[in-house]
Amino acid sequence: MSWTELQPILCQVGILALLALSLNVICGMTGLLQLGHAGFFAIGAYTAGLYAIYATVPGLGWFNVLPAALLAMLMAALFSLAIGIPCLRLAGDYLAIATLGFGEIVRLVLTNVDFPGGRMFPGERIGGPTGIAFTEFPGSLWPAHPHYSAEYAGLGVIWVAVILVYVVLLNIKRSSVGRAFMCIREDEIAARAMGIDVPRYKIGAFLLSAAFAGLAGALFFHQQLLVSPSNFSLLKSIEVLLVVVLGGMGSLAGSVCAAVLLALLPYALRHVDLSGVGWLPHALQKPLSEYSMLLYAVLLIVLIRLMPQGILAMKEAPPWLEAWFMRIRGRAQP
Amino acid sequence: MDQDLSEAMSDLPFYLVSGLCVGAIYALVAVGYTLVYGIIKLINFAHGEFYMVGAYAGFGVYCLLPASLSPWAAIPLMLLASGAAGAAIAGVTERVAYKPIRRSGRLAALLTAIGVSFLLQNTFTFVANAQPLQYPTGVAGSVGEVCQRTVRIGSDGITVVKFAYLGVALLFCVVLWFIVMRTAFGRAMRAVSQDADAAVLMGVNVDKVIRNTFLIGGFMAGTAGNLIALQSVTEPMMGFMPGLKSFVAAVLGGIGSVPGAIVGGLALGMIEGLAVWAGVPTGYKDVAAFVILILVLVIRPQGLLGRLRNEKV
Amino acid sequence: MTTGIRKEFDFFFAEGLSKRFGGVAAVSDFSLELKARTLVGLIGPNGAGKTTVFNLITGMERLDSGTVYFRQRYITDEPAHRISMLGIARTFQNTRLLGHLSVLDNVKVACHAHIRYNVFEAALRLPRFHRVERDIEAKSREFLDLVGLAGEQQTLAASLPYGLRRKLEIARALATGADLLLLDEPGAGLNPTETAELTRLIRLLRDDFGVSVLLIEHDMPMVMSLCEHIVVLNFGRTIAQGSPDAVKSNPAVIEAYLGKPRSKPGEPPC
Repeated sequence: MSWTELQPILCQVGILALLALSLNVICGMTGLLQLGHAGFFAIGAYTAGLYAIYATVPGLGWFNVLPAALLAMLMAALFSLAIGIPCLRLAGDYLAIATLGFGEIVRLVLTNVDFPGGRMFPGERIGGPTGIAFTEFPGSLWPAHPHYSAEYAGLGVIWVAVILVYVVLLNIKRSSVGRAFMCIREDEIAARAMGIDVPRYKIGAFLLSAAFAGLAGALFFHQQLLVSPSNFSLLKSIEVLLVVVLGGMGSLAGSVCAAVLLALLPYALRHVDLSGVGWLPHALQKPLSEYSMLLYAVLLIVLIRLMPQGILAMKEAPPWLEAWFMRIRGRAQP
Repeated sequence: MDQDLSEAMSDLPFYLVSGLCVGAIYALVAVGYTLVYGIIKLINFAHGEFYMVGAYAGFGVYCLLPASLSPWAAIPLMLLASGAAGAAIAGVTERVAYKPIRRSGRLAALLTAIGVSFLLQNTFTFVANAQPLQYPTGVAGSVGEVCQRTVRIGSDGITVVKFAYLGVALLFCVVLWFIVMRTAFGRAMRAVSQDADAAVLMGVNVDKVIRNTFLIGGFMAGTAGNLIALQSVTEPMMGFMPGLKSFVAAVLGGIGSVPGAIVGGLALGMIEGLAVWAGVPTGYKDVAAFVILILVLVIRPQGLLGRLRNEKV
Repeated sequence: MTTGIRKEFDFFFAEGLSKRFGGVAAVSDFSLELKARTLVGLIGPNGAGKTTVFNLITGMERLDSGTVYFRQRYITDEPAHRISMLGIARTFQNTRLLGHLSVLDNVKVACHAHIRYNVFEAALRLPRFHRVERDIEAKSREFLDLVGLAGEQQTLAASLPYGLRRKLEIARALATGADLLLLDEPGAGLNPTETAELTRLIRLLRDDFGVSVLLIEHDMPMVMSLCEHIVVLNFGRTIAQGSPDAVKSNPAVIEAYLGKPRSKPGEPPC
């Protein structure tokens, strides 16, 4: 596989890693099952897209990506309040379904709403089921609207973001904030008894997870130069949840590793081709990558059954790595 | 102005009746959700897919039946087959996917259900090549043609088969009421939903009760799927939205309560009908269901007919 | 909302606490005054409402009526976490440990109220974070030392044996920095050696740490030897209170535990 083929794949991996890291905060660390993550992803992406249309600051050039990303995080966080506050009293299944509903509402609204064309193309309305497609350079040959251009952010930016977010979330996990989140997951009543303001921390978890999902959305937009409601369906929420479960609920490193595994899976499968296998009915003789959705489903079911704690459980490193680390540290100390 | 109003008012009966009929379908599927939730506290995400499997089974039987068979004989056979298929897939799912993780906690159950839902959707997408199937309407007197016949209500025509929804739903609910309230099995079901461990101690075969509950729910869902498919299309993703909406209906009525599921289903159908009548653009019709869901969960989580449960400190 | 407090009860004062669940009066008109550095026992048959009293005091359940003052503060309708921060801590009848966290982390969580850094300082690892974390680490280890769990710091709480679980509960309650500890059957299921250790520990808490302890227990020798003052509940009502000897020979108390005597009255309940 050549670098030009690999690059967009690695970008997808990075975005998925960001989504999984952010979902891990609320599902893994705080124990609140949230099925509407695609909604925050969408809000971030659309915010960045609309920023590119309405509010690009002329002098900044490429650095417009930064305010776009910040705005995306802010908008996603605000929306998380809209769903988080009503859902404070809900637990378990009910919370899952309510957040699922929220995610679907976001998607359905975005599918139906039109935005005004803004400065780029006054008088025209954009949006709807096909979304908004941009081009990197106005007027270039791209199956996109010739007038909407946006800055491109690629592999480097995405993975710098992944590393930064990982470090920030790891710091939070290993602080009183992270401990409070995990306490809420383990036993809400004990949390209250130890002075933790549970509603406040639940909202905090929503805000954190939504903000970083919004960041993922903004980066997704700047990489694809496209926003379309079909990218943000329940399917996406479930895919991210699968990554978090596979990596281990509560393990940030696990989320990144699992994102790499799952995003690369369809491409690895491409090399296995069932087209020649004679004894299979004709309909089933397809390259294995066509089976990938099916395999995801089977993987989810089998994973829950056999390895529910995921690859790394709640730790940041496998036991053998941790032990090695401890030994190094032990030797370094007098 | 007056003309608009009178036009709107003459439209109203159509939307109400149509909403009621669709609501009957929601009710049929919602009852399945609620039965399973009442028994094992599981939200069976795959329930919408039982609906879809039933529709495919019905179509399959249709293809096997001789073309000369009268629709009045063919349709009941198809419905029976679709119900049986729905029940079968429900039973298999319970045995293979849900039973092993029964004691593994809510998250495991939810994720497994999601996985099964995915699996069924994608299996059928794969095998059926995602081509929607429709009952051919070419021949007069064939199943397809009969099911497209309309009758006038107000200024619009409603497909007659939609009245069958109400009829079938009514029939099923009566039978279900009879089973739950008047048979030993129904008593066992109610016992397990109250306290499964205590039921075991009193000699109830909990495994069998759970399996049979799935079979009943699956039967109803499968039949519902075929009913819709008779005047619409059969395709792999057809169960997704109706499944979610029926779940909303079950929550609206009170999850765990069978009368609640029926009330919730009918209510949701009518609300959707009214929304369309009131001019809500069709794209937003689906949003109504989710908004209702969130409102119910926030304002009255136990639904219209359900009861709240409290945790002991 | 009144702040006029009677001077002699400036530590803890509860009056007229009542709570119904549906048709059942779990607690009726419960009143209690506590001084600082005192050990009081709360006893009564199962279902008498003792844990409910704890829940009402700590804000886990809403009061139907009654008032609670702690250190001259009106805390009657405060949320549970506020009450914990103000200095009342409790243990639970069925231990509520954080199973997937280590023993040390369990205690660190209890120090939550004393955290002085915010999420940004944590995320960016600013100096204040490190200072406060060092303090918390040191304090947490001390508490674990005190209850004898020093060797189990990194063990997952879920894998602790029963006796150590109860110890961790107590260490955790202490770590919140409370001045009033409500211990809910800390001795349940302990063997005689562990019970003796526990008795010693509770006395230590009052003598060295200066906390007051309100103790729910069924182990009568333990209660009688530890407590300066005992309150007896039955069917949600206080049926007796006083010194251990007075309570021991109180006929109403004997009747509550053993039923109406067929022959000799005046025998201790255990």
